[in-house]
Amino acid sequence: MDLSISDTHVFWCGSDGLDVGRAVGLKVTNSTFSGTPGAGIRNSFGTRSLFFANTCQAQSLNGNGSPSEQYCVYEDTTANNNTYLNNDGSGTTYGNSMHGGLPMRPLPVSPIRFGSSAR
Amino acid sequence: MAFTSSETPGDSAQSLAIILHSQNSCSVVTFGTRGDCMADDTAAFQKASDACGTFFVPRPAAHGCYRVNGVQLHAGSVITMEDRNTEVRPVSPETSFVFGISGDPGSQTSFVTIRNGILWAPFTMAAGTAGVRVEHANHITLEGLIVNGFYDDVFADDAEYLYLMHVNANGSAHANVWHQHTAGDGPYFGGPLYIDHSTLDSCKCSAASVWIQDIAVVNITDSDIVGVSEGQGLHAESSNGMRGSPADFPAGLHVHGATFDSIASEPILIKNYEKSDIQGTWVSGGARTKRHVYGSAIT
Repeated sequence: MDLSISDTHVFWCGSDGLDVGRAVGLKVTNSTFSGTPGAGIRNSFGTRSLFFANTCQAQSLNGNGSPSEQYCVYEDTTANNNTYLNNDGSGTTYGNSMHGGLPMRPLPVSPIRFGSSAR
Repeated sequence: MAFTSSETPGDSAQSLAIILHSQNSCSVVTFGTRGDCMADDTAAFQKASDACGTFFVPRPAAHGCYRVNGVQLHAGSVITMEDRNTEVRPVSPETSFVFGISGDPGSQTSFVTIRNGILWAPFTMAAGTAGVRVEHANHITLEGLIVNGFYDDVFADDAEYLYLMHVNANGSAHANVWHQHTAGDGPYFGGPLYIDHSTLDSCKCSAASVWIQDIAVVNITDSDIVGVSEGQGLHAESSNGMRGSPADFPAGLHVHGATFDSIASEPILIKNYEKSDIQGTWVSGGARTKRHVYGSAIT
C-alpha cells in the first residue's frame, strides 16, 4: 500500500523483474527492467497503481537461458484500476500487454493506458 | 595504571591506543582473559561488563582470539574492540550468542554500542544462535563490526532504534540480520532499524539475508546485500497486522542506494507494508530456479 519504486534498476533476474501481488497504490517510475526472461513488470493483482516512464531493454543481456525478454509490462486479468504511461517496451519481444493480448508489438512508446478504467 | 597488552608501552602506536583506551575504560585483559583461542574467556568478559559497563577488548598477541559464551552487556555501555583483527569466537556451536543485550518488555536496556572487531564462528552453529542478540532494548549501535557464520549474525526482537553502520554480516545459515517484533511486546511495531553503509553477503540463508517482521521505519541505505546462495535478499513482512479496525500495517520501509545482487530467490519481497519506497537501487541476479522467482515481489 502506497509503495514507491523509482530510479531503480532490475537486471538479470530469473523470471519477472517485478511481480505485483495484492498491492494497492503502488508507484513504479523511472526504473529499468532488463534481462528478465518473463516480464519486466508483471502486475498480477495490483489495484490503483501507477506505472510510469519505465524502460525494458537489452534483452540480449538475459543471462538465464531464456531466449528473450517477453514483455515489458504485463497485466493479468486479476489486476484492475491501474494506470500505465510512457513505459518503453521496445526492447522486448512483445512489448506491453494487457491480459495476455498478443501480439502487441510494435508498441507505442506511449502514452498507453489500460486497466479497468480504460475498458 | 595496568598495561593491557603484552607490549611495552611506547613500542608502537598500537600500544598507545591501548593505553589511551585503558585510561578511560576497563580492559578485559585486566579481568584475566587468555586470548589464545583455546581458553574460555567468558568469565573475564562478563566481569569487565558487570564491573565497568563500558570496556575495551585489545587485540590478542600472536594471532590469538577470545572465546566466549553469552556475554551480557549493560545499558549505556560502549564495547570497543581494538581493530578489525580483534577476534571473538563462540565457545561451541551451541553458544547462544557472543554479545547479548537484553532487557525486559517493560524496561528495555538502552544505549549500547559495539564497535570494531570480528565475531567469527569457526564451525557450523546450531539453530537459534547469534553473534549479537538484542531483546527488549533500544538505541543499540553496531559500528565497524564484522559478524560471520552464525545462525543469525544479528538477531533482534522488540528492539527499537537499532543501528548497523559499516557492518559486515555474512555467512549465516538463517539470516544475516533478523529483526522481529513479537506480538505481545507492546501495542506497536518494532523499529526503527537502520542499515547504513554495510555489506551483508555470502549467506546461505534458509530465510533471507535481511528478514524484517513487523518493523516500522526501516532504512537500508548505501548498502550491499549480495551473494545469497540460498534464500531471499530482503524480506519485509507484517504477518499479524495491528489489531484494530481497519487493521494497521507497518509503514516506512526505505531502500535507497542499495545493491542487491546474486540472490538465489527474490532479491526483495515486501508484504503488507505501507508508505514505503525503493529508490536508486540496483537489483540483479535472482537465479532462475523455478517459475515463480521474481526480482522483486510486492504482495
